[in-house]
Amino acid sequence: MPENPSINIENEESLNEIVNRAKRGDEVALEQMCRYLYKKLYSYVFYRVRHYEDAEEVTGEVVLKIVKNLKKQKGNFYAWIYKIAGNAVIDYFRRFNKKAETSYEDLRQERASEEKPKELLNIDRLKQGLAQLTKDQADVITLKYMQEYSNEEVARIMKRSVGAIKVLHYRAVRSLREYFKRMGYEIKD
Amino acid sequence: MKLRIEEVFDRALAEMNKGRPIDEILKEYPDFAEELKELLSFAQFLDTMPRPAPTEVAITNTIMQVKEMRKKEKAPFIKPLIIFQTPLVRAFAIIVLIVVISGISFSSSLHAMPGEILYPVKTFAEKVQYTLATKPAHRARLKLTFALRRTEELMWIFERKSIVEKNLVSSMLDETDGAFHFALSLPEHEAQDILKHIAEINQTQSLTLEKIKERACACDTVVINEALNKCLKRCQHLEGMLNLQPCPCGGDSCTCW
Repeated sequence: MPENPSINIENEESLNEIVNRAKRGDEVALEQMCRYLYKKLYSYVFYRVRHYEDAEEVTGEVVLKIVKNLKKQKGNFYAWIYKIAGNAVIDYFRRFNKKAETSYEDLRQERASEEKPKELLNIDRLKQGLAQLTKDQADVITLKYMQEYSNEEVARIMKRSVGAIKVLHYRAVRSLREYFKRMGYEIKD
Repeated sequence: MKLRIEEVFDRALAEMNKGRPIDEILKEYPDFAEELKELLSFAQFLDTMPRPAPTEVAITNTIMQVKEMRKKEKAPFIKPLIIFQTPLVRAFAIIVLIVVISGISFSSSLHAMPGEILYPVKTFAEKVQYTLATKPAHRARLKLTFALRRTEELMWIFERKSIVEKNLVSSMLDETDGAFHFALSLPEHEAQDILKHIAEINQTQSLTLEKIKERACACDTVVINEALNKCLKRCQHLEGMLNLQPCPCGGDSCTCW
């Protein structure tokens, strides 16, 4: 068995093939699937949890849950994995008794961290902004911008109509924009 | 039909992603231009956000954990435990356990004597056995078995405590009467067999009572004599029914059989 199997998952069809092989007990396919899913889900989880190091931990838990329940999986695979990832993020906030709302202390620290590189600062600000949105709105933003899915793909993952996704998307961008304005955050690079 | 802002934003965003300048797009939607400009700029900002990549160490660690988990799932000792997790198998296991425990208790109780922990189990098992028996011949044989047990128990108690347990005396005689009652309802060839058996048990009971009478307290004499009389009457009755020879001793008692 190769030590580090290369990932050749170009589309949904090739992912389905690998998932089916992994379900049948193919160890190489299972490892390929885990690598692919870890990378895919990491950026989704990254923007949803507070701390950088927690993102890796939560993503690891998500991949383990996926493997554990793989044989029971039915229906749309993407909808299923993002449901697990979404629940893992909720569990993360419950477990550490963390609230999704940004606290005064967070904002104070944010204002004091002006020496941070611009890119990191924007990431932190976006995370805070996403925490202000509803779960569905935050999901749409992360799936569309961080995972680069189309409206149709997001609709399938979230099990909503394309029209509903457009409404959620518009409201989410508007709310985020208002939050940035309210906080006085600059959006220019 | 007037377009909704959500639809306009979606269309404008698609055109912006194709590379069309924002100002040009806004001219197409003058009613929404002001709001659209802000939203499109913000969407552009979101597009520039980095897509963080996880470290190779984190991925490798997770794959190691996955392999560890798979190994545990494949472990031979774990599999039987997993099978037991289904409700049907669990229910079946509980039923088997109850049957096994009941079987052990019942078989252990067979030799229990009055006053011992398992004695109530013994009497309960006898009731169950009797209820399950439907044929009169089977019931008659069961009654005789119980009668013999009561006789042994009567002797066992007397030898240890020197007392005559009146309940056991009456129970012993009642069980024998019960067997006699069932024997009468049987066809002749079957009845003969049971009656011979009753005669044997009756003799054993008479001998036991005689032995007890020799050493028993005077206060128990009345009970013992009454029981012996009953045995004697039963013996005479049985002699007639079985056409047996009169007792060779020539006396009133037939306990010398």
